[in-house]
Amino acid sequence: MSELTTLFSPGRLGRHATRNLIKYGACCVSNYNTRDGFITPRELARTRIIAGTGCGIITNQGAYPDPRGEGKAYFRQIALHDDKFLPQFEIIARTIHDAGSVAIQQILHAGRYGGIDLGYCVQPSVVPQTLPHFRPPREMSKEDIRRCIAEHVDAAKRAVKAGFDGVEVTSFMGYLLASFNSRFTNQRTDEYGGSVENRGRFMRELIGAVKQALPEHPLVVRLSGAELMDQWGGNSEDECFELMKQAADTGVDMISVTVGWQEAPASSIGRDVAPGHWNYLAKRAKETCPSTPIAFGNRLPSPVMASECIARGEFDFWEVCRPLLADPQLVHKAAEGRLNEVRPCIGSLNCLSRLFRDLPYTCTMNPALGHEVEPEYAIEPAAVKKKIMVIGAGPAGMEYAITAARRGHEVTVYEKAGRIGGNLYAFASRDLARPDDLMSVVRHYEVMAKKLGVEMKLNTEANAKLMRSVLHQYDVCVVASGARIDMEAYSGVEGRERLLDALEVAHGRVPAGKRVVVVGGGKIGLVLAESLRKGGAEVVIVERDKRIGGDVMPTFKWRHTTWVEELGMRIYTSARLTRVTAEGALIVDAKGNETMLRADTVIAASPRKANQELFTEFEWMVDELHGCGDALMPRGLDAAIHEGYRLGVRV
Amino acid sequence: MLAAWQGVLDRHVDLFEEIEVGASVAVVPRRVVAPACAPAPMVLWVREPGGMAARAGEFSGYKALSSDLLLIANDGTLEAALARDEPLAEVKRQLRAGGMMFMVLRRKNELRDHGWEDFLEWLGMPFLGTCR
Repeated sequence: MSELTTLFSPGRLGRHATRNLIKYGACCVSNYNTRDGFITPRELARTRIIAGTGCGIITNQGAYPDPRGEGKAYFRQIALHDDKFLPQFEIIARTIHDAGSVAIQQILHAGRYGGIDLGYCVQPSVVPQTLPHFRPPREMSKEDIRRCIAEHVDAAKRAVKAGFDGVEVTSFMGYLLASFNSRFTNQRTDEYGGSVENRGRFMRELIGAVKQALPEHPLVVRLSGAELMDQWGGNSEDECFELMKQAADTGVDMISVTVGWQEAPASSIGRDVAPGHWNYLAKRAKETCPSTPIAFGNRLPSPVMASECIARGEFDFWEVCRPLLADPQLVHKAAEGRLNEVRPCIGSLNCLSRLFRDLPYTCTMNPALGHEVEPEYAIEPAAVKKKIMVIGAGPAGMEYAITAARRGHEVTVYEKAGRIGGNLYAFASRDLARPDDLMSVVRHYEVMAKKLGVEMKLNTEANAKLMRSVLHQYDVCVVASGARIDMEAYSGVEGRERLLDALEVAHGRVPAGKRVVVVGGGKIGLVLAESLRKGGAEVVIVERDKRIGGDVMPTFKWRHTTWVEELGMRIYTSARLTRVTAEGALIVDAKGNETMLRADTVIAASPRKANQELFTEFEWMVDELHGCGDALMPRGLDAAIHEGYRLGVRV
Repeated sequence: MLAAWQGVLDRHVDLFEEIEVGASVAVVPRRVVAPACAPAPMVLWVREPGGMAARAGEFSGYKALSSDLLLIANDGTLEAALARDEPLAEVKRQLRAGGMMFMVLRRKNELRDHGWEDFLEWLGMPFLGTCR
């Protein structure tokens, strides 16, 4: 706690005192609500968790303010254009207040990214989309602008009527106000276009109108410190800060600094961006607008780093969301000096991957996220305390083990390797983005297993002999033995005995040579190929499908394709292996053309096969036998953690 | 330049297999791109019955453009791409580096109907973006 004294100091937003300098950011729309904008019981249950995070300020997710739905960006976004929506907003405001936090309602008009139910979106000028996900543009008239300002004012008044202390407007990420601010999308020739002064006019008028209507209530504006669109003709950072100054001079009570547009060609919050990378933008915002509180949190997952920045006067509030999706107890753990117990956000961006598929967001690390309304997902004390053996200390087995231990079961994990983590350990250390993020998952399980008293039997292979030796000692056996590369799939390949198993290579048990062919362009093949290439080997990838990365999270597909190109690896798609010789690998494409790839090492990285043999062996040896994770069907980290948890809360 | 692009398109027949006849990509220098502008030369990658063809066209602004997609390039970027072994891979790289950009002139379902899904996915377009 001592190093976090600053973060836990009281603060102020307008006339409201805050208990600490932490703002829960409305980083994502949840997509938990109805298609016509009503808040659901699922959302209200989630809100109770958010309210319990302990943040001094809590921002409720963005509501669109117009009845036409031009501002609606997400399939199940909440609406605030009519009093009929208020009863649920009242519950949310009350829930936040009851938890001792200042309640802010975000108004999100998505502009260029809006109109999700319509055939168009509204913009300052007709600038076509750069991503196919979004709708064709229509130019806003001055009358449209006036109406839009009035709708924001009405929505703000409605939020206050529902009990919120203040509102937040969105001038970032390419949303409506941001698109007026930006040179890229604003090509108007009237008083709303041209100079920075003119481009910021709509934002200033909107801020002024809301402040005039609600002078006593704090108004937060989210603004880009960098659009990351300058290469395409967007604003420079200098222009972003000029706009920030305009907002401050117009009387906003807080500026929340963010980074990047949705369509920007660069990444801002993924694992490939180092924590703290964007802090300089917050510092510059504070220097530009010294009298206005600055909130910041992009790619800043560490409360320690945030506290240090605030102590140095670089910004005023740590704005945090995604790390609180992964662990809603983060703030409390930080306050109690239990940071080592925090379930880390690993920047997989599963949340956003799902949002852009119009699905409710979920979290790789927090299986309960979005299911707070379902008692089946809650960790409750077990009615019958059981002795449980878990086979495998990968993410599925460890997630199950700590969940079951939290319910009061006595849990022992058997793992044939000398450490926990399973195949995740091997691939985390080879991850090109940021190995530490994935390794933090392994560390989390180590810490929690110790804290919860899970017995770890490492270097112990589970088999029928072991089972006989512990017969009748356990009530439950959970098989979480993961998956392997299915080498039998190569039975028709001549010279298959020369093939290496990708997992053996990944774990460092078998060395690869200097000229490598990796057969299988899924995530295992890609991660291994990238790391071998980075280590100096010449690497070629062979994939049966038309494209590589078929099992990769959408948010990481382009990273892999970029790395493959940057590292100069050749790829053969729609191709299969037919022969392995001392000279290399012979492959054949869909048209029957053969190619000989010279190599000293040929690695099989697909297909995968579940390690299910123990299910048969143990069937008559234990009262309850269950399975989870890749042992049921090979998938990935997300499914492993979620299944481990779901089984843990049930058995 | 047309012959060079024709060679590139011919080497990537698979990528354009599903494209509907008549569907096209307009390739335009960035300096001329505007909603409406004085006519300027552009390259079209257009699907014809026999396959993708590189054709010369005239760009008068994207409001008047009938293409499905607009590929915008900084001066010299297209020439640099064509000088590479794999020009389309360079296009993909430049899209991320900011030397080129794509604009989408049709709705997502129209692009799908016109057969662009494979090409767009190959470019990584559905997955680009700062949050992704």
